[in-house]
Amino acid sequence: MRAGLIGALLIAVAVIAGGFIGNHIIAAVPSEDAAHLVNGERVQAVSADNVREYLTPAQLDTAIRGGLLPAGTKSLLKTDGKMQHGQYEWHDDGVPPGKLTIWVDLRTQLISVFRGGHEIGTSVIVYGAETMQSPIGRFPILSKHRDYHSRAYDAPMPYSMFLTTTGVALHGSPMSSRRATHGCVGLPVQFARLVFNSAKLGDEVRIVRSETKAISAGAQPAGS
Amino acid sequence: MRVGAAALALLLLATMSMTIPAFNGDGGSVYAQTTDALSRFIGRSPGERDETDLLKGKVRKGPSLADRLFGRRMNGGEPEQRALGKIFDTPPEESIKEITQVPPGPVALSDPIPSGLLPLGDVGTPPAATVGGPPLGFPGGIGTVVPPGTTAGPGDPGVSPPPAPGVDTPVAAIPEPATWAMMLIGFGICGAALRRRRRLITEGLPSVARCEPA
Repeated sequence: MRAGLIGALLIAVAVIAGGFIGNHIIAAVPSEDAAHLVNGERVQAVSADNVREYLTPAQLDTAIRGGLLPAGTKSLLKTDGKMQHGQYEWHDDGVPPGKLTIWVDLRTQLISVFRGGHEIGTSVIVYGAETMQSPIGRFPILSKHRDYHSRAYDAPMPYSMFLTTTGVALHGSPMSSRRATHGCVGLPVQFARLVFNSAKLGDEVRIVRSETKAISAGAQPAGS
Repeated sequence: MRVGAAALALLLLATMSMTIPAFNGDGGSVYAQTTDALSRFIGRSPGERDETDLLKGKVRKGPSLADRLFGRRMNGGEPEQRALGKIFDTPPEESIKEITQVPPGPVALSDPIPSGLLPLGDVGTPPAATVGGPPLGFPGGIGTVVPPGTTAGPGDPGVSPPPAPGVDTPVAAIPEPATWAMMLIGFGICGAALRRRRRLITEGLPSVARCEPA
């Protein structure tokens, strides 16, 4: 009787220890051989796989058609719920260096920075007001200025990356849900610094306004 | 017996750690099984921007200090009106009637004036019929207003008796220095408010967005 109880105690300890090891140690080890299927091709997983997630081909197709994501997206950052103005995520560990693709969605007020199809950063943005709308389209980064100061509005524009010759730029800005810009895309200053350090002249910035239908369709739970 | 209780408790804990996400430290994996990645991506968004929010200034969360001090109630959905400092009474009915009785056609200078209107060249000299009576026309209008009871003729240098009780004292045509000062302060406050508002909300022409000339 006593030996049976001790055996049960040992089994319980083993189960708890096994669960802990499985959840916290094995899952955190980057799996070099892990690969995901995106659009019929195998996408090599990046090393920091615990901060990313992968879309199914159907989801990616829906997102691309709705203007939510650029074509060639391979992975997204994991985020917890709704982001607030001033909040951002940046994880580029294990993502090989390369050309950036910056995706700005005015409707969702989000920016996503992709490198090699992997999202490495995301943040909430502020953009142009109705009277001074941000331009929609595909823009290369024309020039970069770390400490730019607006002469027209006497306002600091840290980490400016100019997109047009008329003065539209990505730059660090005070963030608030009640703020708007004169057409620029405002980012949290620390996030703008990260983008500024990663972006090179000629990197592509896409400013879009995604479709409401795509959002509502994509918001449906999987399988519904 | 004590060992048995401990073993049962640990078994129970082990079972919970395998079934309840909060105990196995990986609630996200269960969450990932119930919702897809695209929904979570869309769920990041703080939502579409409401343009009307941008036009609001500070939100008034309750009655103002003046409302609390004077016990005024908040306006029930009606636009708030701010009256000017001076309130002009509506003109008396007699003066309106006199205005409407003026013939519509042109009046020759030689024609007699039909009522108490002053003839050209005699501004400031009331007709005899109005001397001693109430002032005609709009009080406080531009022009010389003769107080009731004054004769204001040559040889009677301006010593006028105090106005009779119940009769309004006429308003001076030129504002007092205090009025000038109040007006200038008001302009200053308006300018400061406009300057502050321009900082808060963006403005400009809808033509070309430009944060800064490149």
